[in-house]
Amino acid sequence: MKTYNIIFTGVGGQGLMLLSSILGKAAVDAGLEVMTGEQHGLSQRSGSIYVHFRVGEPISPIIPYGTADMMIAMEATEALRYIEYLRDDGVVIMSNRVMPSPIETAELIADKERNYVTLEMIEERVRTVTSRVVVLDSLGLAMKAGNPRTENSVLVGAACACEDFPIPVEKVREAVLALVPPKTRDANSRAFELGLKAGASCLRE
Amino acid sequence: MAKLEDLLDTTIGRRVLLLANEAIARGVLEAGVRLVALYPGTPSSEIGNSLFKMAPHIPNFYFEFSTNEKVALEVAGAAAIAGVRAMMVCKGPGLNVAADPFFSLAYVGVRAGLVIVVADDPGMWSSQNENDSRYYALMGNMPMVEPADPAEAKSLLLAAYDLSEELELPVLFRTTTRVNHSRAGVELGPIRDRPDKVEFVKEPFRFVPVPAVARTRHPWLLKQMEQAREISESSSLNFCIGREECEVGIITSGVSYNYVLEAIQELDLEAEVFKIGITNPLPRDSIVDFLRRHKRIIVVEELEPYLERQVRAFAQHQDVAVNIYGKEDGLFPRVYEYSTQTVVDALTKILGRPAPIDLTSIQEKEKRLPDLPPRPPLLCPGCPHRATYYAIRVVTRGKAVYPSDIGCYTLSIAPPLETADILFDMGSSVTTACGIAQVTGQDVVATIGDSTFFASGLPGLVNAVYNQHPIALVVLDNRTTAMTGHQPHPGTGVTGMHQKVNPIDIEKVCRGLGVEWVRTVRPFESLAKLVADVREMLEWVRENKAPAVLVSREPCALLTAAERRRSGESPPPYYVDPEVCTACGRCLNRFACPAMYLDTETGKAVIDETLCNFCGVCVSVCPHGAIKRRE
Repeated sequence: MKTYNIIFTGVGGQGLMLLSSILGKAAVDAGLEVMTGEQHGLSQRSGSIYVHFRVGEPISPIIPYGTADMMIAMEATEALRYIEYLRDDGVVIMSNRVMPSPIETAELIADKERNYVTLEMIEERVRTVTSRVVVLDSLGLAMKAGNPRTENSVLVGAACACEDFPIPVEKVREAVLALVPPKTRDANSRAFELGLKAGASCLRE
Repeated sequence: MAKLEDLLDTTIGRRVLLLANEAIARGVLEAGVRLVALYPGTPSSEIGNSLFKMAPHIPNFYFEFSTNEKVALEVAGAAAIAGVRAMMVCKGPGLNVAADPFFSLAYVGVRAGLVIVVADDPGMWSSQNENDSRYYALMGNMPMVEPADPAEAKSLLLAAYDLSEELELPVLFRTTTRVNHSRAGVELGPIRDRPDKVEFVKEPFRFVPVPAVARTRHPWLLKQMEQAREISESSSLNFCIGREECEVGIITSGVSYNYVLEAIQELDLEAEVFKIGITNPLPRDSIVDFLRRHKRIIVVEELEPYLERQVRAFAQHQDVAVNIYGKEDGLFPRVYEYSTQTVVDALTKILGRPAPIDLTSIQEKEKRLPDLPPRPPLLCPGCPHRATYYAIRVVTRGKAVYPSDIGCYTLSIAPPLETADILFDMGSSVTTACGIAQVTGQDVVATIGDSTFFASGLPGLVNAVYNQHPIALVVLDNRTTAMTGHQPHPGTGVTGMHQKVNPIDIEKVCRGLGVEWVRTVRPFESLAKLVADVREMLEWVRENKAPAVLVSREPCALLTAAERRRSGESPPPYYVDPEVCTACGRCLNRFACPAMYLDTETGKAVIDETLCNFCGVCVSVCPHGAIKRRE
């Protein structure tokens, strides 16, 4: 099997490590080889973070530039920040959420002419790299599922809708339920299905 | 985030997804380790966190979060001398703290396996330097083993215990961030039993290195290291892959091995690779044979030219005429972590080959991107440190000197708080404050976390009291070791074995040491009182020319958020009333909570309710009373 590379990006605290654990467990339970490269510690505190996730025949824990088959972004700005990892025509599954950082806010206060980075601007730039972009209202769908902290299940669900996604959807579903806090299992299960449906309809378009 | 039942599972041969740090914790079980002592430090932290979860479920096992790394190594070293397998774990700078017992332990040796796990941090993802701990092994004459991935993190750990017992020497188990924080499938092996109690058999003329004893131990140590080299020559931990008859030979270790394999695949290069698992002592004769087999030798390792210099010395000593390429020619960097790209770049340069992928198109792609606003790590929304630093700024207006320490609160270096001026290592806030206060006329307000206070702050405070240094010390007591993932410490009342004990009270400790002005304040109760206390403390220090301590006590925001999620409680959120807000910008400019942003149309502040952690401090920061709580 060819190695399939996924890069997760987002803001520290959003739950990227859980995302990595879920897909990693699903892959190992499906008998696949996995190797990840993660950022822990200091980078958890509202900072920009990314996780390298490689499944198939991974040799090293870091995805070379321009070879990621998929990006899962929990925050839109962070999708753009690491877009150079994506191969041409790779898939981007991204949240429509834009979280302004206090540094950006300070710059805006100093320069009244400036504006926050917008989703439209980010999406436009991402689309110059690939046409396969799924933008999800992950927070909205998570709330619909009954818990705003299930955004990562929404995004994982959407990733599974991608036709060349290498991990069997059943294994991913099981891993979600095994690794999320027991009290949130139902909400996460609903979030996963909502993401799967939303991803499928986006990718069909 | 492996499940506890996976870490404890007895199904031999089952493959489980483990972070390398979790694989090391599992290795503790499989190696029959009886005692582990450590002080948490990223990138090694998850080893302790996993063992903390596992400890109550393992028969005859003792685990502790020691007060610091020196303490941890002494506890573990003594256990191994008594006759049980033991382990100490630390990050690179933590081994500096434990350097004193480290050298003695090599001299006296051990009766049962002792492994010292050290996690270096190339790239400085969470450390104050890139110190290359491999030189400790060289300087201290200690065997060293280096894993390359999560599977080796466990299998080589088991080998390290065997090596330790064969040689009666501690073994340094050196990892790097990219190994520690890599996840992969790891096969579970059988769990080894641990003895309950052993008897300490006295042998003072071995274990008490007074000069007369130490003089006999040094030659013994060198003899053991010669035996270690012989083991290294034939060990399966040092192996070659690829065809022997080819021009290029690559010597590598640790995660660089993976990058080398990926790079030669990308380049379709024929090369023999010598992967070194026992990196001290090196298999000298095997390396010399390897040097003789190839025309060009390339040494690939992160940080310092540790392998390279020894390989060059072997070539010189054995008169091998071969071209050796590495850092000393500037072909490989001596800073930051490597990737496959680093190795590809160097190999194409050395071998005069074209680059396999078109980097210019990627650079083009990057150029098309806008300048995104930076997003460095920050103090969390609802972090009590933000309130304390805000109060310190209000009183001192940025004019005092602010010695900082190691913890989340070092992030106060960022604007607008800007309350970190000098930092060396754990505990240096107190001591650098002393130095600055003695030679300047400036106010000095030092900050230190609760865990760091116990780890390394105490000797400095004794010094400050006894030598009468005029410093204001604020202990940021958030009831946990937050930065490394919330481990207990002596102030929390919980041990590594989950036993409830009397917490050590920081205020009482300070009084006991003779600090005359000591007070505890709750920053979330009243920001005004916090400001008044900081002001009073500074005035007292100026007047009395002696140290004063303010303990600012409020649990870490991540702990309170987790507690809230557990209880299912959802308190009414805070919001900015746009009718009252005057767009003065004080909250955004001075307090800068990540849960607040600017409404660019109105210039007024907005609170993101999904990020707010309910500390409510912004209510007191607003001079107009515009921040309110929903009913």
